[in-house]
Amino acid sequence: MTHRNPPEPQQPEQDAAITRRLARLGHKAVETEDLKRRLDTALGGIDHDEPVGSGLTSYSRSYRLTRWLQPAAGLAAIVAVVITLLFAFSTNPPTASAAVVRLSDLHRQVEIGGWNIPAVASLDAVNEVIAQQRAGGVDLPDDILEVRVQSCCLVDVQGDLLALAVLQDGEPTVSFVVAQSEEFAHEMGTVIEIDGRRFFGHELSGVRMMMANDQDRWICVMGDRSYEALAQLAAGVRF
Amino acid sequence: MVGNQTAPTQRLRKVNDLLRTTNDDPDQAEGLRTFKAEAWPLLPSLLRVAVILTHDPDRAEDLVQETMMRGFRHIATYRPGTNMKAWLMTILRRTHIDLYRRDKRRVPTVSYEPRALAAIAPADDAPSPADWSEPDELLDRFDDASIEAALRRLPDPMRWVLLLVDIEQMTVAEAAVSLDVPVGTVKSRASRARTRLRVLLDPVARERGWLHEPQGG
Repeated sequence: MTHRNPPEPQQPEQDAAITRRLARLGHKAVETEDLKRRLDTALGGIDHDEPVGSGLTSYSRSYRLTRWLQPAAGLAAIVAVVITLLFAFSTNPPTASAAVVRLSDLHRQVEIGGWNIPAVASLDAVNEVIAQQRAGGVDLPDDILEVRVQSCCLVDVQGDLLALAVLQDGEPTVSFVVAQSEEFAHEMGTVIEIDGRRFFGHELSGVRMMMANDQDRWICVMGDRSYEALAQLAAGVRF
Repeated sequence: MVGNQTAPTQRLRKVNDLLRTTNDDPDQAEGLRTFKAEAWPLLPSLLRVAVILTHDPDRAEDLVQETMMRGFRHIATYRPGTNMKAWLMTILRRTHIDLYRRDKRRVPTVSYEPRALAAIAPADDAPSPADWSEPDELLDRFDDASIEAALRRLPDPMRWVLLLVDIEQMTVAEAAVSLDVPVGTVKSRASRARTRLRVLLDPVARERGWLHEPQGG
């Protein structure tokens, strides 16, 4: 066995033996195939052979936050939820094809107030408005844009926007997007379980987000808050 | 609105660009390929270290995965041609701190149980060389799990020096870069760490009858 760091001459023989014994630990074989598959999935493996949603095992750390069983009412006392009925994210009117907006860009626009978005005051109200939006019970302006939101995950997944809500409660703004798509974004990043439901978190362009799906519908909650806080919010939304 | 596409200016893109869909920009795909080509061969080293740190195969994989994700996200801070192993080990060390200490999980560092305190004696109380007259043969009797358990009982700075230098065979200079300390510090820590490791293993060897109790006199 060749050592890159042979014991120094003045090193006690006993310590030199420690060095030699530890070097053997460095030659232990480790199985990395499973890890490579997980990483390929997480990094949108350009060489991957697996189709989206192939059932690859989800990964990354899991936090079983039993202490987060309380409803979102335990969060900030004052909650202002801004709901958009329509939003313009470009000075150019949309063309016949659906305009596509990345989720992270959408959130950034929300943060800077780029759209005229009305406000509501509680998470319960968020759920009411989302339900109204999905039922089409809200009057939409004539220039409503048909928007497709693009998952920020590495695999291009788009969905039809069903609802959008924004939370402003004195803490960093949080956006809620509900979309419909045949494909859910790759499970990736931080995994948080709440009441048996799994939420997947990652960060893109400085925007932290938690996502979850229910069949062909998915929700993305974005903001500069902890994954746990975002997951708690997502868990409180009925989509 | 699709995110703006900037013209490629360097081989390894900044993280925001790299995380766009690879379908959008072949240069970004190449950046990912470059990262994978350099980083994937280091997975066994990272995983070995992670297993020793966490003593849990699942946590170890999680730790390495998070390390690689962070490495990919911060690829702009890596200078191509420099030592990626040292760079990733730095990220691994910091990620371990973030993931496990921040979450207040029990980190296998120095135990403050009285027995452990007694075992972690200053160098002056190191086992007698006479007792370790055949150190290689003695150390061969320890299984890897026992050695790793002793490693986990070392103070963090000492453990990391042994992990990088003795186990992963990084040079002292490389370890110094990774640990962000002077070369002299690496050398002195390594020396103290090896002595302390013997101090930790000595009572185990005596319990198992591999060493005789020192004779009075």
